Amino acid sequence: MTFSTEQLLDIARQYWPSDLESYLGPAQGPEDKRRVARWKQEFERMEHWRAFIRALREELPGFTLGNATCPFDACFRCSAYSEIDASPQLDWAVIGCVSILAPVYTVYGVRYELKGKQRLSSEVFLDSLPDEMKEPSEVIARKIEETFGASAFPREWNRIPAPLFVDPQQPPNTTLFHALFTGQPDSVP
Amino acid sequence: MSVLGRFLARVSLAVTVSVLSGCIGAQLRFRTVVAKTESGADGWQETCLEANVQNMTTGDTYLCAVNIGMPIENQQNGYIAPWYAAEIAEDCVNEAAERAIRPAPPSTPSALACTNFKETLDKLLRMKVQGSRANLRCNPGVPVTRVNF
Repeated sequence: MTFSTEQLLDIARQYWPSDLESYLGPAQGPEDKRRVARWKQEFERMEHWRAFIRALREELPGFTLGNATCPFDACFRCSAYSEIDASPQLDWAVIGCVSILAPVYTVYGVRYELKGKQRLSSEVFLDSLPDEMKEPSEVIARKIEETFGASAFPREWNRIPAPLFVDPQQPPNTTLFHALFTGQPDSVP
Repeated sequence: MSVLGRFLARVSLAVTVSVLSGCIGAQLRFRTVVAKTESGADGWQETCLEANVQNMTTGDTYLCAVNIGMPIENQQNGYIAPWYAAEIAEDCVNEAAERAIRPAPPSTPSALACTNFKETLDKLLRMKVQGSRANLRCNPGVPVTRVNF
């Protein structure tokens, strides 16, 4: 990791509002405008991201791969849903994220309790992944490093507070993870 | 108390709000932001709702701008055409207004009514379409629908 947490926070501050008035105000502030402009540039790399997902599909048999990128976040995301363990009551996926703000990535897990097609509850695994998620997460991590040259965001940095409004996260709950990747890790298409 | 809570507590001293519930028909228009080109989950579409939350006592108004985003395809629903996205979002907007705006007591600060509405809308959207979102403040170029609450 070539960046310190302070450097990453300085970067994140440029892209997310730090005051409540800007967060609540109907008009976008300078940080929002910077983020939107950044995404406009990054959309040109979407085909590259899709090619990455296609390549990943070959390496993860037994998983349904999808492009889970949401421009409300600050990262490209891919989802790998397990086909083998899927049941009417339970579903889980491993999510790979490459930040658009800094050359860092992370892989996390999410498990859903289902009723029919509806998600009743979700559990996000940021720090330590359950056994069944470890192998696919390692495959995704290796492939991201090979393809994008990004560095793994240290898991021990996941809970570092960021005094920023990353909808729906607000200080003191917002973390560096939210700012660099997603404020809603459990919201996956 | 959260930062938001402290801010609203401050605001509520000066503002009392009674909110008027609005109901939107088939008005929302989704615009493709990320085209869907792959099989499986892919793509992103957005629309913007600007809800004018009015204090019926003082006439004070607050513009509640909510950016609604939905995948174009997800695991649960398959392909979500823009007209279908609009239909789902309209149902959720009306339901969220019913739950978060209508029962709000007159003392509810309009900013709190707005964030409550946004959070309720986000939950309702996600129940119907996995991966959808509702965020404060709209992105430029997204079709805007204005309503009064």
